[in-house]
Amino acid sequence: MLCDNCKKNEATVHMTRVVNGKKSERHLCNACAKQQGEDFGGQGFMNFGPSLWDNDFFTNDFFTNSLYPDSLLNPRQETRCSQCGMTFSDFNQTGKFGCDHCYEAFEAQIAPLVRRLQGSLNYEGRVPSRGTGVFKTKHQIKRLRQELDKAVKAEQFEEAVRLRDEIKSLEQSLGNTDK
Amino acid sequence: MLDKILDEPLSGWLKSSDPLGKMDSHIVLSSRIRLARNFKGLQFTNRNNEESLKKVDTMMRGVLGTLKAADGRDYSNISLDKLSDTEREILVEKHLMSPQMGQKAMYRSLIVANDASVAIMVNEEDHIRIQAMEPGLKLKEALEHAFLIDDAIESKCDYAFSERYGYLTACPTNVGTGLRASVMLHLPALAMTGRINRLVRNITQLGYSVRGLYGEGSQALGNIYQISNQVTMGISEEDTIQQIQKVIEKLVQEEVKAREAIKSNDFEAFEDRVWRAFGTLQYARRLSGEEALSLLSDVQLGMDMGVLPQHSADVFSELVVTTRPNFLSKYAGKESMTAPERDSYRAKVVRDRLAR
Repeated sequence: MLCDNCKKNEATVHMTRVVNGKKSERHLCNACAKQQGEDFGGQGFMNFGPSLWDNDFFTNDFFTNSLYPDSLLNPRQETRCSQCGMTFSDFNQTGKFGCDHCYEAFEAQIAPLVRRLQGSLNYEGRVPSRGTGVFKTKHQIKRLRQELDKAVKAEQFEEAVRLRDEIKSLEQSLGNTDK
Repeated sequence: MLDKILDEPLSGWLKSSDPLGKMDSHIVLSSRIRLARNFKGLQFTNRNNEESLKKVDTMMRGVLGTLKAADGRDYSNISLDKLSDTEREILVEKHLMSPQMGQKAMYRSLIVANDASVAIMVNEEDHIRIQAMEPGLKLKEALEHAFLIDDAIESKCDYAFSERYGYLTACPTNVGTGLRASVMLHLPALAMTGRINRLVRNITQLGYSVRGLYGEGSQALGNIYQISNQVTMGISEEDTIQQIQKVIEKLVQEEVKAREAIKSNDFEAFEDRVWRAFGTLQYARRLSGEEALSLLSDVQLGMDMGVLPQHSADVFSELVVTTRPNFLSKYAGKESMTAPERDSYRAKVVRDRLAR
């Protein structure tokens, strides 16, 4: 069988890809396959390297990274959480995330999911006192503003003045940390 | 400490704090706050990563002194893999931990305060779940207690927290505050008059979950219901408990109304029912767990409404626990009992308690 690309050399690399249930086959010669591999982000598609005869020749890592890059087999490559290795389909199966970092890794999918489940994306709860001082203060200011509104509506002006001053001093402290 | 927890039928928070004879005193049995927390940089428990599980276990063994300093109680750590199946089930029956926690798994433990007002599940669905319990309708007190413990742990360990999502949990239904506020109620008159079904539907539509005695999927045995919030995002902890408090107060009012309705409607039929229940419990030689709970519910209602002679305030809550299968086995000193043996022993426990 001749190479699909150059139609000159004997095809030695055979690829089957399934996109949206449609199967297509490609047969390439060594040279063309290598070139195409480089076209796929230089992932070294034919770049066997020293690990060729290692034990991991037959492991998934070898096939997915080297011989059959994911980008060829599965054009919608799934993101993996770098901390725990979970993919979003894993989550879909179990309904549970694998670690705290998953919330960053799958940010795009999580935001709509949380909104659907919880009806909101605005966190209103308490904040750990460590490390996130600025956030905590911002949060406190938001709270105090709400209280201030209430106090004004209830015509509790002494309370309102006290709250206003408190907000002012918190805002000043924030200004200082920003610098 | 462990023996005391396993042997004592009632944890402090299940003991009634109200004087006898008050109409609404036995409607709200207890309040519970649960905070789900995970630690930064460790895999969640569902990944079954031994290193992470072990780290969580070690960290939590290290905070017992900090907890004592926070609220003055003595804390002990109970390794669940050292307990027998029956002993683990008893901790579930006593509502100190979830049914999931009863299943055997590595590095799971329960940290309990000496008065059982705080119980922390370690390596359940989340790294830790802090639970604070109070008798009656006292969500605010329970929340304050849980925060005290939360702050104490946070002073030693880094929580998984994001400014956008709040406390990060294994399941996105808990993310945010990680708070589940739940109240256990005894609603026999609403069940008797059939009004409970519509109320449960309404409450569910308001975004609360209604479950039976032992949480998810369990039936409302003994007319005991648990109501809890579902939303953990977009609402603060304080507002969450304020809103659920309103729902509970409404339910209590409805239960009181239903009790009044019973009074003005063929009262003798009601008297007959509760006296019969009382009679059966006093003289039966075999009782199934389900029958015991349903009769106990009638008897408690009869006492609340002044039909039956007053017993000690805790007889209902106590027998609800002592008639559960695993507690019963432990009580009898026999880990394995056949069903008839158990039913017979259950009937004896109830008879003895009511004769006191």
